[in-house]
Amino acid sequence: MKKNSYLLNTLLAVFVMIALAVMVLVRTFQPAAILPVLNIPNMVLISLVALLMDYFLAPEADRCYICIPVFSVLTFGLLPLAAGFATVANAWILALVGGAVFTLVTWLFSSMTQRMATGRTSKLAAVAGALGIWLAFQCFSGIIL
Amino acid sequence: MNKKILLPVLTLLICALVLVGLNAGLSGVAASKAEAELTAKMQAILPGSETFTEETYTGDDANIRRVFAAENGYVIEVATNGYAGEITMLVGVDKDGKVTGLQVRDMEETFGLGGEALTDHEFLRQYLQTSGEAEVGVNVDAITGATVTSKAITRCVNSAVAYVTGADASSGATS
Repeated sequence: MKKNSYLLNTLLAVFVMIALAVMVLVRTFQPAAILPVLNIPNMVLISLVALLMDYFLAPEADRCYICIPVFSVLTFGLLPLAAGFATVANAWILALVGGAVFTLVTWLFSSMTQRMATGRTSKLAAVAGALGIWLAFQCFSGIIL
Repeated sequence: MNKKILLPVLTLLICALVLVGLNAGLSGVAASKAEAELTAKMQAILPGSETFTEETYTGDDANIRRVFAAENGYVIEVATNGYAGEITMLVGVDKDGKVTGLQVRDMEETFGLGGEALTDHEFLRQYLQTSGEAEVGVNVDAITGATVTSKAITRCVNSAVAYVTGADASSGATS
């Protein structure tokens, strides 16, 4: 296994924490603000930010497809609970949905970047690809939900 | 065991601890700011009232969540399903059963369509001074492309009025 296999899950935890910390601060100091919910498009957005950062920091890293669902389930279950945005009763739903979403997005994004031509434009192409995946998930969520 | 696996485990635990600390540390400030904001909002929705006392709602209307009694009427927190999720509103109703103000507090409606209910004052103004007879397509023009959202808001407003006028037979406001 190549190095940095666990960087992706580490980045996911950090970005989910940052998003939730911002929401805690907004909820505290702007109580009238309508906060975004942790739904599929928003989970996909956070996942893609983590994936892009992982791609820039460790483009050659292998994926551990056992660790990815395990840690993402823990991340999306534990952190909203810790921030007070989920109850014990619904944290497990967030955990399962978040784990499934992150694993699927990781597989899609990795498949795309592995086939991408390397070069000066490859980083911009990854960003554009991530944007495409996010828009596709928004359409997908609009259709099924 | 691969020691590198400790990195995401420790990061996750540290992130959880940071969030627990942040949430616990700010909970007092959050509660007081939320209370002050709610009072200011209710004073704007029901002009002329200064103090609000929460009453227990024991009726059967599932849309009614909280009831606040004031000197000259009630502010009622109502919630119902819109197009994309639950819409929560505050509706001010005076003792004559007329709507004095309303505000959408929370929603997940589509940006640019149902989401306009937050800021479309022309739409919201149609409910002022109604007494439970608001109906989309009759005396309320729906937001363009957001009929479901408009009907949900109408249901909320009519539920609030019904509580005050007694049209909601299970309400205690007129007893």
